[in-house]
Amino acid sequence: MNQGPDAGALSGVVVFEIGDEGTQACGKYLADMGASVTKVEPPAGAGSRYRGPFFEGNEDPDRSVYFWAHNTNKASVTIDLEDGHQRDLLRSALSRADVVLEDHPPGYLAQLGLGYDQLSAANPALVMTSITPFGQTGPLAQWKGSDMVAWAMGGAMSMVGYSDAETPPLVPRGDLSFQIAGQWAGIGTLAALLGRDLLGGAGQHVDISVQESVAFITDGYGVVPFEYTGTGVTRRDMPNLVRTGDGGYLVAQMLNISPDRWVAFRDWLRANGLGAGLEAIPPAEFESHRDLLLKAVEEVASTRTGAELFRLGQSFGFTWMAVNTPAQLLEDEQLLYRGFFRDVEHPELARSIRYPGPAAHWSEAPWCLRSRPPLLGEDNLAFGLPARGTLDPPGHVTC
Amino acid sequence: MSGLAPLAGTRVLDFSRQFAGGLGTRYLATLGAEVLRVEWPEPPGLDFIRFFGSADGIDGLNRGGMFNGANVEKRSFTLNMGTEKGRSLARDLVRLCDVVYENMTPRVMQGWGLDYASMKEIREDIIYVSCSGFGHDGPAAGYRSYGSPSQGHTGLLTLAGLPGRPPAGWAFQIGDTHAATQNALTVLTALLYRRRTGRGVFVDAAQTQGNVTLLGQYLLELAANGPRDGGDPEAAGNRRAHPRAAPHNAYRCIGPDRWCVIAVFDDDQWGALRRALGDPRWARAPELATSEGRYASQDVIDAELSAWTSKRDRYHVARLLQEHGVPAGVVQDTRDVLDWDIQLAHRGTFAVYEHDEAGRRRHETVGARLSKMPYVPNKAAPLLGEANDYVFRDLLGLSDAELAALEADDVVRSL
Repeated sequence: MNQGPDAGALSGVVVFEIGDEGTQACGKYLADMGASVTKVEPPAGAGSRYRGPFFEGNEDPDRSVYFWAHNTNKASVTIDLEDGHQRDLLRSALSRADVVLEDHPPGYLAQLGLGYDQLSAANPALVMTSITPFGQTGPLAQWKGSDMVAWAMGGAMSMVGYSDAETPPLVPRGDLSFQIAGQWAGIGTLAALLGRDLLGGAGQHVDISVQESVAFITDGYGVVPFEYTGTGVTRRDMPNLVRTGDGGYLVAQMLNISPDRWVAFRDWLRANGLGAGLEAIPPAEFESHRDLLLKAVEEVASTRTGAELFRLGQSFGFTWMAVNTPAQLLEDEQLLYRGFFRDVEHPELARSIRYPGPAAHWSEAPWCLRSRPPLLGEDNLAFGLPARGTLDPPGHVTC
Repeated sequence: MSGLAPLAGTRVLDFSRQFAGGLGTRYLATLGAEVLRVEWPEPPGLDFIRFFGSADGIDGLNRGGMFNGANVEKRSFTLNMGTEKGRSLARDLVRLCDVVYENMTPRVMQGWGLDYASMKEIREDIIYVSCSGFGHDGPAAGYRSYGSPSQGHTGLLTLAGLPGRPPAGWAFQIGDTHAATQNALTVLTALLYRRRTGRGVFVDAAQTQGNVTLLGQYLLELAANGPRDGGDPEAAGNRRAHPRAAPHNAYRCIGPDRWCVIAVFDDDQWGALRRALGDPRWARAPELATSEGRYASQDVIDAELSAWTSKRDRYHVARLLQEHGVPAGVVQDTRDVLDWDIQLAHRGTFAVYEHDEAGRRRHETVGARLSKMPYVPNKAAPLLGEANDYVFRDLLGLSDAELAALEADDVVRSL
C-alpha cells in the first residue's frame, strides 16, 4: 500500500461502516482522506440506495445520486447481521480493524455480539464510534430520530424561518444534521486514534448524538444571548436581503467598514447618480442610517447580477454576497479556479460524473476521489462472501 | 481540562479571530490541546467578538459572551504583530508548537513572514492550517468574508424557505460552526499524518468552499441529471420528496409559537401514528395506505394533524408519538434546550464556566464523547493577556528585564 506523501493522510487506517445515514458523512471523509472504508450493508443494500433522486430517474440501488453523494471511495460488502455465519466473517474482519462506525439503536449491536465491549475484547485497539439520534444513554436514548427531529430538539429549527407568527419554523433540506454529526464523529474517531498513544494502544467508544451536534450549531447565537443578557432569539427574516438584477437575492452586509471605504462608496454612488438622501450625511455616520443605505444598495443591485455585486462590494470592503443556487455554484469561478469539482469515472455507466470536492487543499497527502461509490456488494468476493445475487425488496429507509 | 485527554501534549499557536476561528481551536482545546491565543487589545489585533454579547449588557474586553463561549480551555497572551520584535517572537513560538492555526485573509500571515515555507524552516514538521474565506488562490483569494452573507454565497440559504417568499432567515451562522468542525477535523487528520510519516503539512481551508460541500447531493444531482423540470420538489417548506415522507412537518401546539414535528417515512410508522391518534376515521382512508398516497394527500393530513396537535401540549405530543414508535419531537427554543431538555442534561451538553469577569455562564461542552477520556470542564475563556508570564517566561525563557523591555516598546502589554 502506498503510504508516502502522495497517499492520503489517513492511508493505512482500516474502517468498517456498519450504518447508513448516520455514518455515511464520517465514512466519506475518512475514505476521501485515504482510509480504507468498507460499508457493511444488508443483503438488499443500505436504505439510502433506495432514496432518490436517481441517475436518469432509474430507480436502481446502484443509481441513487443521494447514495453516491455520501459514499465515494468506499468498498461495499453485504452482510446479514442476523445470520450467524456471516456475522462471524464480519467479526473476524473487525478483529483487525482500526475503526467501526455504526448508527444502530443503542444496544442493538451488543445483542448480536457486535457491541463495543465484545469487539474490543478481541481487538483492544479498536475505536468504535456510534452516531445515534440522541446518544447511547439517557432518557431519550431509544427515541426515534430524523433530520427534522434533530433540528427541532436541538433548538436550531426554532431559529429558522420568517419573522411573522403565521409561518412555521423550518428545517433546511440537505440532511445537514447528519453531515454535522458526521464531522463530530470524525473528530471523536481521530481523537481516539491519537489517544491510543496515551492508553497503551487501547481504543475507546465514541458516543455522538445528532441532537447535540445540532445544539452546537446555534451555541454562539442562541445560548450566548440567553446566558449573558437573558435575551431569547427567535425566527427572523434574513437581514440585508435585496433583489438583484438577475432575479436573485443579495445579502448586502456592510460590517466593520473603515471610514475611507465609506467615503469611496459615497463618491462612487454620487458619480453614478445614486444614493439619494445620503448626500447630506457624513460617511462616518452611514451605518446609523441603515434604511437609506439599504435603499441605495437596492438601486445598485437592481441593475446588476449577483456575481457583479459580489465583486463590486468587495471593492469597497463590503461583504456583499449573492444567494447562489446549486446551478450557479457549478459555474462559480472561484470554485472552478481551485479545481473543486472532480470528474469521476463510473465504468458501469461508461461515463464520468462531476463530483463536488474537498473542503480544504493539502500541500501533500491530499483529499482525493479514488473511486466512485461502490456497487452493492461489489467487494463480497474479496471478503469471502458469495457475490451478490438477486436483490430482495428493500427494507424501510431509516432517516 | 483535567485527566487524560486525547490531545494532551499538543500545542497550538492560535491566530484565529471571530467566531469561526475561535470555535475551531475551541474544539481542539476541549480535546486537551494547549491553545495559545495571540491577541492584542487594539485593532487590528483585537478580536472584536470580545464585545459581542457582553455580560449583562456591559462592555469590557473580557465580558463578551461570544468570545467567552468560543474560547474555553484556551490561554491568551498579548503580542504586537505590528512590530518586528513581535513577529520575531511569534517565529520563536512556532518552534515550540505543533500546529499554527489562523483564519485571516492569506496576505496577513505572508506579510508577517509566517507563510508555510518560512515556518517550515523554523520547524520542519509544523502543521499550518489556514482558514480563509475563499482560499489562497483564485480570483476571490483576497476577498473578505463573514458568516452571514457567506451563507448566501455558498447556497445554504437556498435550503430553507416557503414558496413565493425570499430565502428564510437563519438566526445563527451555520457556516461558521460548520467551518470550525471541518477545520478541527483537518487538524486531527494532519496530526495522524504526522504521527505516521513524521511530516508536517500546509492546509489551505476555504470556509466558503467547505460550506459548499454541505450541498454535495444537490450539486451532484445537477451534474448527473441536469436541471429538473419544474424545479426541485424539496425546495420549499418542511416537506420531503426523498424519501417520500408524509406527514413531515411542524405542527402548532398549545401556547404562543409552540410547535412539534412529526416525520413518517414508512407504513410501519404510519400505522404507529394511527394507533397513537386512536385511529380516527380520516386516517383510515384507503388512499392513505401507501406512502405515495400519503405524499399526494399531505394537505389533508397536515390539516387533520394540526387540528389534533393544536389542542395539545408539544411535549405530550412528542412523548405520546415516540411511545408508539413515531419519529417526533418538540421544536425547542434556547431556553428549552438549556433548561428543560432531560436528554441534553443527562449528556452534559452544556456546563457552567466560572469566569473572573463575566461570572458563571453556561456554554456548550464537547460534541464527541470518548468513553475513556471524558471531557471535564476546567477553564473558562482567558482574560486578554492572562498567559503572558507563561508564554514569555516559561516557554520562551525571557528574563524580567527582557520582558520589561518588551513592554516598554509596546511589543507585549500587561492588562
